[in-house]
Amino acid sequence: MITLLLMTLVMTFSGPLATVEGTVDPATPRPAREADYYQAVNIPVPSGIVLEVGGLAVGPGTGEVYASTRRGDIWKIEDAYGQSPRFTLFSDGLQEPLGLLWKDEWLHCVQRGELSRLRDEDGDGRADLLETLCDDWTISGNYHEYAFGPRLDKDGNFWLTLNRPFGDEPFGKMHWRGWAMRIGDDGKMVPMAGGLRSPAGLEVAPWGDVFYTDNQGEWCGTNKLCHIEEGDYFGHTWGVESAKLPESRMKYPGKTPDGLTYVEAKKKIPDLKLPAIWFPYNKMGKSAAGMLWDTTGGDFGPFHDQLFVADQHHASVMRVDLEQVDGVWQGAAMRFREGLSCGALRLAWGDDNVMLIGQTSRGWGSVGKKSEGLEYLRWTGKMPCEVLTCRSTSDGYKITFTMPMERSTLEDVSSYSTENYTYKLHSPYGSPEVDRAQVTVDSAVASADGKSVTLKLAGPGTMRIGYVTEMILAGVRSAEGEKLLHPEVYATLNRKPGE
Amino acid sequence: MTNSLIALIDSVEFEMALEPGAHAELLIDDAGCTSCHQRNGRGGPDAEKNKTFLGTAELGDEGRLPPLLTGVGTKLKYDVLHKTIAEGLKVRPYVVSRMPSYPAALAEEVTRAIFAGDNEPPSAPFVPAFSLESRKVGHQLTGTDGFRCIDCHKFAGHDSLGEPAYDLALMGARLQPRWFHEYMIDPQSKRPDTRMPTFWFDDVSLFPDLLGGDSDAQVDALWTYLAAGSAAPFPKGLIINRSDFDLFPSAEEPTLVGVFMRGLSGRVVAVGYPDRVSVAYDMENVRLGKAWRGDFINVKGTWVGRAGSLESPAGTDVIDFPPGLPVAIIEQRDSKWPDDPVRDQGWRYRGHRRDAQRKPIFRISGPGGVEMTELVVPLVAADGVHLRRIFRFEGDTLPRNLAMRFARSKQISPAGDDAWITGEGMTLAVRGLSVAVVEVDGMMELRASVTRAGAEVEVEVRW
Repeated sequence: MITLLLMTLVMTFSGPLATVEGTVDPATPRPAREADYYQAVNIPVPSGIVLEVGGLAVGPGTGEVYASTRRGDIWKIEDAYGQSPRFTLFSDGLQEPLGLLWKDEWLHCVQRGELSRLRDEDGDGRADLLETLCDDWTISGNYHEYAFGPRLDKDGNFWLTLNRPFGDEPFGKMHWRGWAMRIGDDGKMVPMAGGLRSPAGLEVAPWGDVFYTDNQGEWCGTNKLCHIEEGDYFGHTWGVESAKLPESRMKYPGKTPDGLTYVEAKKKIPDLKLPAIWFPYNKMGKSAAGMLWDTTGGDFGPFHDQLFVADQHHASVMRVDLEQVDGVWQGAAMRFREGLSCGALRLAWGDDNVMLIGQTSRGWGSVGKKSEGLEYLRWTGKMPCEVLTCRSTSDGYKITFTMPMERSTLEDVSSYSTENYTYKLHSPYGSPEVDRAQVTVDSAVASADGKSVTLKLAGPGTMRIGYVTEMILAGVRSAEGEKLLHPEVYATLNRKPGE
Repeated sequence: MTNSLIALIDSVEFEMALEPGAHAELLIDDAGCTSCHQRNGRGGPDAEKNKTFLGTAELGDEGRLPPLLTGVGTKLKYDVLHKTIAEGLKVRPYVVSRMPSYPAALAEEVTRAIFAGDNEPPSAPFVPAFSLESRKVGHQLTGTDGFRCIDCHKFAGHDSLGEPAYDLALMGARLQPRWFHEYMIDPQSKRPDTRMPTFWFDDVSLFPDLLGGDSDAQVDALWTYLAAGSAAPFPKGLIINRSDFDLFPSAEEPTLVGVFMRGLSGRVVAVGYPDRVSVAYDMENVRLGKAWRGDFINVKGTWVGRAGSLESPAGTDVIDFPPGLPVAIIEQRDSKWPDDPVRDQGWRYRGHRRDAQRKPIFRISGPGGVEMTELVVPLVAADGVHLRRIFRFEGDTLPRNLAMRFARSKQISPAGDDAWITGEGMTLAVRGLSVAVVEVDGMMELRASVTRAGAEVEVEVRW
């Protein structure tokens, strides 16, 4: 029987303390581990609270974090990074709130059926007022009808993404499932782009562009990161009929060909948007979710201005280095941190630039010891031996590193193994890596300081548009002889520089 | 059986002339296995046939397509493979298609050929060591204190916590222990597209304290535990008691929970008051939907697994308020009450405010900028708990022809001062407006005009 903890409205935690992972015995030599550089700390949660985190918002006070849960609560957590955080039930009765955002002293959240804002007017730590800002979309009563966001664009508009349903729709099939929405100050919803499948992550880049992550399945070859612009079609056919409604900013794409590669399909449907990043299945997670741009200016390590992407299944955080060529986004995906306690759904910067990670595995099993929770990563200050950036050239890639590398290993072409493949846009679940073609490292030229290498590729799989170049830098060593912590780079190419 | 296959089986010389692997491939092709199953990179359904395989959408192709036969002679036990071919044994309830059954002689021949082909050269027997300690660890690793296998896998017929993946309790009897071991360490080596994760990373064990964190020992522990099949003790977290999800409001304030509710909509907030009376407010249809006494609600269907069930009141004396808005703009006092979707009428839910006792005050807006709030307060009376609905019209002006409707029934009769009783036995006493019974389309409705901005209307609902 659940004893609701409403009787004690403010609960002070008195259970186990925050647990820090990654204690190292210096006497035992062993390979470098992720935890040596990014230490994970579990925020202790009082018994009785099921913190299946759907949304995170930090502040406004020092040590404060707000977490919305899949059960429909919002918890205010004070002294979140201390040994004994305090939990207060800020709000209850919400429907699967999967995102939180502070704006104008209101805590905004998206529920299944509405964008809401909440405020504590009497200062007791609990919301007294909930205002429905927009409910222009409808739900049929299917579990998979999640809504993600809200996120603010540079003009102050909110953005949301809406899942497609799976299975029964007891209240009838509804419009706008699998769409990205913009909502202005007037509360009116503008359907901007369609063809999304399960868009569990939505983020606006520091420079204002909107990106989302999608999850592999039917009409989604593998997990991907996409740049959303008005009128884009992302390939999932579920909700395309809504494009015939006058509000739609996406043209009706017609019948989507079933079984072509994305590149071939785009020739038939020009509005089909190729992803900025493909995350090869299992190599780079299985359930791409929340995102976070590194705006810490170096406080979180060497990856400033790059993008972190949570993966629910792998209980991991991945890293993306984006580049824009001729106005089109593309880039490279790399592993960053695995072995978290539970499936990672939401990311946020906490105090002192720790990376908060909201977690849940309910319904979608994840690696990890726990069913749900809140964890954070702290940079230990030690520099990991990593690929820093990977940028396209006309005939290959220029790769930079976080530290000087041994030049002879950089220039030895046998240090690298490479592959080139793409994905099908089709109705079956997911796509294998298809249309492989041979690609090899023809030459590798290291910079004088050993901090970068320029790879010239050769073979029929060289720099194909809409394809992934997989590069494993297994033979590369640092000047100190250290292996790369993560030797894998998966670069997606949409435009070749200089063409 | 095809003639060529009969000829092949009969041809001892031919059989002896072939390598075991080649023999297996010929038999498998001839029996038609590879028209549905893929084996060693060959066969599998063509694009058209692929589309005819149906299954559980959330499991993707694993929940739809016939399993790979690559290495199946190292995967399944001999008798299991034989029975699968001879009887069409079905162990994947999520795959809609059924394996056909084949004549016993053919099943025997194909099984023998596959085993000979896949186990060439033969390897030493693989026998995980049994110990009670190992079994205990396997038990822990399977449940919610371990690798959480039951997040996705059923166990002994009991639902998993999420997807309906293959029953763990069947594995000991079906699988060969070496295949299980190799699969656990690297699932994609056996089934490249599987969603099955591995639990042992480069140099990090999730459970370093169990059996020394040794991956081989931990896999053996899982095998040792699963070998008992459905007689193995339940993994922790598997059995979910429905009563664990009974919500009981505290003594101090109402409890709110968002649900899909049967008969209302996918957008309902259920409110359980400390006085053990509850209501369901339908945000989509912008109205109070139900009220009931006693137990509040059970949310197993909303809080367990992928959830999404339609919930219902847990208590007794459930009453349904009439469909349609409590407020509308009508031309005449006896005009038909609008039944267009509320969005088309211009009414929308606008959220709620919590009063000093944290009771929700629901707010809706409508045509002409009219705003109305509704607060529901338990009414404790000599004969038990009833409800008081308090409506307030905000703003300085009201649209013309604004009316409220409090009841709709085949019969509405006077029941004392300002009170009325419906055919269903609901008594309503309205204060703040002058109400009248009107007959519309053969039904009686209790209505009132709203003409004064700032009006407050109180309705006692007894049942």
